[in-house]
Amino acid sequence: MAGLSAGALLAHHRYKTLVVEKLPFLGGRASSYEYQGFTLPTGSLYVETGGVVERTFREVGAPFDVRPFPIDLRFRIGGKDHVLPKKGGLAALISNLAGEAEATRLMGVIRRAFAWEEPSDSISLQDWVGHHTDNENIQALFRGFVTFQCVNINDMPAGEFIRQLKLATGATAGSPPRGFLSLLTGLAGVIEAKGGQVWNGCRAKRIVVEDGVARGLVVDRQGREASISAKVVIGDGGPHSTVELAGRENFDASYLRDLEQKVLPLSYMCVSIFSQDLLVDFPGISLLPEGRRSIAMVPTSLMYPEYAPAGRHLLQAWAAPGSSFLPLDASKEIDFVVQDLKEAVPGFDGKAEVLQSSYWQKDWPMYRALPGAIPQKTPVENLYNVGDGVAPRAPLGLPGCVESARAVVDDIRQRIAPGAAWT
Amino acid sequence: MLKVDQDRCVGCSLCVAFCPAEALSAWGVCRVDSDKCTECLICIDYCPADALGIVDPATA
Repeated sequence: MAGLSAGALLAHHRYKTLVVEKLPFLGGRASSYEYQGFTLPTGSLYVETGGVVERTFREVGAPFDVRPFPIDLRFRIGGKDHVLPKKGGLAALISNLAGEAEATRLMGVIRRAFAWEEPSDSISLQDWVGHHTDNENIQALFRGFVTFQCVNINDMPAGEFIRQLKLATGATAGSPPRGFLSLLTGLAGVIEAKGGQVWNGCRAKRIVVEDGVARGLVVDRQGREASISAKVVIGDGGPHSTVELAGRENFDASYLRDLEQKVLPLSYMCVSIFSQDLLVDFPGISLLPEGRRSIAMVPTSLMYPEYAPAGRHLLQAWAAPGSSFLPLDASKEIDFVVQDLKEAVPGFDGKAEVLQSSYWQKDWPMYRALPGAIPQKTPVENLYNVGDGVAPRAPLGLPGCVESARAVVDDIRQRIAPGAAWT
Repeated sequence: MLKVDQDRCVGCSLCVAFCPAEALSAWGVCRVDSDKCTECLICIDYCPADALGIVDPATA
């Protein structure tokens, strides 16, 4: 979405724009596809409404057909389901789980983290919570919260978690009834309507750099090599990929070191399950943080019947693997999720079937990096990155991607006059 | 024959969804059913990790 957002914004501001996409479909990890009559995600699970993403779509004139869903969170902890009340909910929930005295103490810790000083990013959320309480229910509660953010509690820095909670306060979200691909198609339509082009199935082979300045791109289009001269090149395949395409020799050592140390992909899994009967009837997000893996479970077709064929229900479970940074047996990680679901969802055995499992990691991760890792500008003049690998401080996922695109386009607009930017 | 580079494969299942021969499956990593694969190569286009490729059966 970052690449198409940047393209649509540039086209909207009268820059001649070309988007080159390696895959046959639009939108990368923010897209969707049809499989056996179901609409499944390539990565993005929901999108913030009323924020930077919607604002950008409206600004460029792209349809933002997103149906909000209530962000109702239900935590299954200690064998009971606890729904997070809308207002003052956290204090009430902690009190339920740990008693009033412990709740008062912990709310003091959380209030200080919010209003006085954020915890350090050098400590994981797991360690930060463990430092403040040994209550297992509360540890499970935080595990659930961070699962909702699509990150493992061990991989989430405590400071970033608090920042994300602040950003999420009052936020609303939803999904496109016609699937995420419909959103990206709208952005591509803006680019084409303004005279730009979008080339699918076209692989970038090399970013041309001369004397420290990006000059264009060499692509493989339908088996033929083509050279494109451009005033600006924007990479959306992740900053590592941009470096490889432009040649490492064009980047200084400090940039490359930051890349290695800070742009660390985070993994996530999604298991899609279908059944004839509705297996989960809670119209929100059920968090199951006490299984082999911490799971967020959504009865997708209950809120979005369009995502399943008639007579079928789609249940989706998302979970962070044991680690994003250690070598794991990916098959076992999926096994853990399915085993947890069998135990947590009555009627799963016999009534439900796994439609598909998706593991997002390495070159196709949940997030390429946490926000604020590295800037959008590269050491090569007129070569930028957009996407979640270079997101500024913003809500995780799509808002950060679009913020990165806006930052790049703002910079281009200050430096280069509109008009023909590529030939 | 089609071969999966297990180090590159992320397990995203995109290849499974777009294989017209239902020759691919994924459970954490992708696997090819050589008996079903027609080598139409559509999966190669859809793999975001460049994990699929054709190799000589003699060296596979």
